[in-house]
Amino acid sequence: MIDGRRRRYLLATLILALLLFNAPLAIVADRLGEGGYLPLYLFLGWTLVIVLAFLVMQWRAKA
Amino acid sequence: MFSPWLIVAAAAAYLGLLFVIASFGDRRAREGRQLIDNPLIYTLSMAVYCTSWTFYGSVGLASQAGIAFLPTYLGPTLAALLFPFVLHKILRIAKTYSITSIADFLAARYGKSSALGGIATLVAMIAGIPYIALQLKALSASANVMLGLGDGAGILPFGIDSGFVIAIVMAVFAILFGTRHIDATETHQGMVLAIAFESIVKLTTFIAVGIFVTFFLYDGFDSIIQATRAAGHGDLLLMPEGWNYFDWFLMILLAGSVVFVLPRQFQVAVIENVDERHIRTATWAFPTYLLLINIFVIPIALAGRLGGIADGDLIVLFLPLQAAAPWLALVVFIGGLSAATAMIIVSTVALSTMISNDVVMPVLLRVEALQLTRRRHLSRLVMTIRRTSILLLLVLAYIFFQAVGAGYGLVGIGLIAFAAVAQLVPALVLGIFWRDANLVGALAGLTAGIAVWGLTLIVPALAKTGVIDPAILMDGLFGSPLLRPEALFGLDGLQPVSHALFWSITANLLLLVGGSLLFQQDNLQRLQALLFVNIFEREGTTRIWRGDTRVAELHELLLRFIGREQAEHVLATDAYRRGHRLAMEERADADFVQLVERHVARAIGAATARAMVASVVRGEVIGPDDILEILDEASQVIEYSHQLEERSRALEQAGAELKQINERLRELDRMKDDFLATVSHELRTPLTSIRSFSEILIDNPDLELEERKEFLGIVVRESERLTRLINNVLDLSKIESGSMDWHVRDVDLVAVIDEAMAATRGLASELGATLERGPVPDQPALVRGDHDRLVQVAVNLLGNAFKFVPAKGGIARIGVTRDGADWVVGVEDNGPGVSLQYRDAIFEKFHQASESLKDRPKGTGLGLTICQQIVSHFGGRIWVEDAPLGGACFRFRLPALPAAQTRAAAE
Repeated sequence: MIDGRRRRYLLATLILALLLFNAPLAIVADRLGEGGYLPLYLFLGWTLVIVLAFLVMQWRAKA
Repeated sequence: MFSPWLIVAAAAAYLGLLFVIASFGDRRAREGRQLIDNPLIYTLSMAVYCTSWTFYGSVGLASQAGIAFLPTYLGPTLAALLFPFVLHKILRIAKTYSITSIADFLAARYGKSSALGGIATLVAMIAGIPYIALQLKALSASANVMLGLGDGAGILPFGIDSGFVIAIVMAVFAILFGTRHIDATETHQGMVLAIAFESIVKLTTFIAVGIFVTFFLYDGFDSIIQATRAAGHGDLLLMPEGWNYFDWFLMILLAGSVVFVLPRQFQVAVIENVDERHIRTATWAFPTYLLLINIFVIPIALAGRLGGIADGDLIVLFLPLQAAAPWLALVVFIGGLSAATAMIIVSTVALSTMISNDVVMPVLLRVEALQLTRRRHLSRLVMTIRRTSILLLLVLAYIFFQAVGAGYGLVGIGLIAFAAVAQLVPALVLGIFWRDANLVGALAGLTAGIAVWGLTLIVPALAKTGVIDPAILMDGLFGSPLLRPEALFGLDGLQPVSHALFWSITANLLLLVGGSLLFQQDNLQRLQALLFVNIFEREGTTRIWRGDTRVAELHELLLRFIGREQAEHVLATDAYRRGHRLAMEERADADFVQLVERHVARAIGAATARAMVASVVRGEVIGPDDILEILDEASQVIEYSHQLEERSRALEQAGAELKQINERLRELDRMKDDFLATVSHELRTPLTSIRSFSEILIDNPDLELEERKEFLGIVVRESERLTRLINNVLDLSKIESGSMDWHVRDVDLVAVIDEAMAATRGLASELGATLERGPVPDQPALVRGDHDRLVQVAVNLLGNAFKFVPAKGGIARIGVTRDGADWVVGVEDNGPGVSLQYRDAIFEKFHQASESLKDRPKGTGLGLTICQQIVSHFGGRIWVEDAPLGGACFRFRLPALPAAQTRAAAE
């Protein structure tokens, strides 16, 4: 359904998402400043992952 | 506040609208236009994942534990990135083998096992009933608030409980929506369209209340956050208290994995899918939906907490009521209704199919006394079982809600259900990627997983409510401290659900893998494993059948299970495919038997369908053993075929090489003919001149002395040319035949070029050209070779140069330089040069005679060929390039003798 390159990019996005949503990166966000930035960080990371997934799945290969 | 009748009317109107949408979708489908054949509708239908749990429960949880609600949505986001890998494969398998549910899928994969199908159904029911209860609880609580009955148990007039009424209404609704067709693989197009519409409703209503709270009750996100911090609730913005990142990770894993096995998700994502390409869009659009519906969860939850709303699950409803916005509250109520109804409809349809196909029908068909295998029509029975199952599920959910629901929040119930249904994940995922996963492993894993789930989640719940002795929590099962339900094997510090998930999935996986490694698959399992794991390699199934079963008997089977209309459709499909209609008395072939089994499977599941078809057929049925044997033979044939292909490729290659050689031989033959023709021509030309002028001299004795001298001069020159040509031909012939007498010794190339210059200086002055000595080394340029032959090469090249230099100002230069381990002699001129295309060809015999030059200079056309042969003989190479003087530069290189030898020679 999707070509090899898209598969690789999608797996890379998955790994990035796993890193973004879990420790240790989430711990860093949790302790940023006075604290309280974890929800903002998670929602921004979530948006980034969706944008990447969109680009991987929908970009048109050059003819 | 609205009148209760208005609330009831609004809810009824909404449900009525759903019916209209569903009917519209079904009507269009009958007309051949599939409205659900759209990736966005497919994605919206997948959003049935977001239920009352999301709509009410997430806010409730967020008001108590901040971001603890998020893993439930981050997990599916990660899972969505695996859709093209996992869901695509599941989808292809399900469509190829007419799978009707997740239980049917597992049963079919593990050897069409009724036992596994039954256990998977029970697990799905164990998970599904609390989940449906959760929806009833949310619906009941929100309805009670809207009807002014308080948020406790709502008692309607005549002492009727509102929750019971809702359960019955939902049952009727689900029956009307989901059990109109007997074919369980047939898409419920109207239902899916309605579910997609509900997804839009719940999203827009939730966002509406989010905007109202965030921007009308407060001045934006920052305002709520500041107020939260000021009120001392800043901890809600951090990792929840009592959670660690392992809990967090496990919760994400749990939510991500169940997306593939929740019965309702399997129903919409697999069974109802009409085009597998829709997965591409769902991969990013489904997470987008989850993100959008969660954006306002935290602001609403914080606002509810700040507003002092006690029941977190109803914050989303109370906030508009507190703010005197009853219309918004009504909108929220409808949004919550849509979230709950969508889940209840799809879940009950999916579960009823599983109950009917994987539990009830297999049992009933085995009861001889019922003689079901002989009954003429079973389609009505199947339909009745499904409808009864839906009713039963809702009644059980209502009982669960009454008995247990009050003690748990919405999310609490949901997570327990998630952990149960997650037990299906290992068998599913390993089943489609690992051929050796077998039935023993799957049964053991599933049983162990659900047992550990019960011990770690249900036992503590029962102990805490006093149903069983609470001492078990401290003493452990069988009095063993290692088996304490909340700290199994001493593992504590985790959230109850993560603790349960960790141990249950570990046990499940260990037994699945261990059982698969220790026990053998039977042949049917091997076959099914092969077909499932290699679905993309083995399109279509094996069509193997030997028997004397008549079409009429299989037609009878179709009539019994799918009714006359559908049976007729099957026959028509078969007739269309094969080009003629099978007669009833004809013998059924493999294709027809498979077609019948597939259609019966759609009604009663793969395992039961197999049993039913087997009960009808007579004669020699090819069993799994034979199929595997044939597959093995086929594999051997494929192997031979590969070998033949390889040999064929080798032969092709050899043929191509032979063709090349043949071409070369033809070329050589042509060259030989050309050579002979050219030599003859070259010999004849001077001979003709000699003869003509000799005859003139004989015939005219009175010729003047001057004329006589001139004619004799021509005779002499032509004789010399003839001699040169013959010498060249002889030289070439000797070299090529290997009979040349070489006098090999150490040769100084500087001496060679001096000698060549001396030999050609006369020619140069005759032509008015300049002969220059190019760069030469201070020491001898020693090579191994034949001095005279190398002089011949240098003379030849210089002679060649003089042939092409301009009439005035012609220059030829010869020199020798060192290049690495070689000496290179260069002869350059300022003539027209040699164009690139002829730089190889000029070394061929008589080449100049054929192509390269219009004004052919005088020569034998063998000089360069001889030069090349001589240089090659001494391990060198000759070539031509552009000269700095502007003309051609012929160079030849020969391996230099070692330095010591060179020094010795110099001394």
